Amino acid sequence: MTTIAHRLFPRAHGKEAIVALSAVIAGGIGSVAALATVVLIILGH
Amino acid sequence: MLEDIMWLFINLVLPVTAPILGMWLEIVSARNIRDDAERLEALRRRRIVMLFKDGQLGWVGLLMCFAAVSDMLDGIRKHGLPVWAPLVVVALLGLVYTSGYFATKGAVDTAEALDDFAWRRFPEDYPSAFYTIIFTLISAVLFAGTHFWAK
Repeated sequence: MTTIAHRLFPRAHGKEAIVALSAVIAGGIGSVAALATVVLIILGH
Repeated sequence: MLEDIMWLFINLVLPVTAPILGMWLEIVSARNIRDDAERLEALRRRRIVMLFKDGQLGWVGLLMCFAAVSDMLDGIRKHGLPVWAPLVVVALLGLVYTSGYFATKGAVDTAEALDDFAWRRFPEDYPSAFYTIIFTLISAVLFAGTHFWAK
């Protein structure tokens, strides 16, 4: 987890990289939910 | 149809392109500076990346999320509660958190504007810009989806 965080945010210090990674994960989950929502709207549900 | 195109242009295209137009005017005016060193320095500070490098698009993404909530409530009044309502809640929670975080991070840790710009290094050089561009695009899709559903 820490390794991925520091790879994505090499200039972030300490736990800042973990917090930034949590934001990316939250955004990823939100994005999947948003796209699924739009697909369901298009399908007429 | 024309109304829909105008809605897309005013709500999704204009908030991003208007600042770019403003920057273009700044660049045009800076080209008239007579002193060479002063002109080069002025042009160095007037680049499109300056508009996005500190996650400024995060604020746009946040507003799109809040506008999606407003459209969603209008839609619920008209069509009732849709089956995908829980998905919208998850989408909004995730996108609001990430947009708010990167917009704030950019304000706290201002990215250094590098002279050499490379798309390959973009996520590393300007992480706040990189992530806010992606998540603002997704927020725009959600906003448009809920708007056209609510109509």
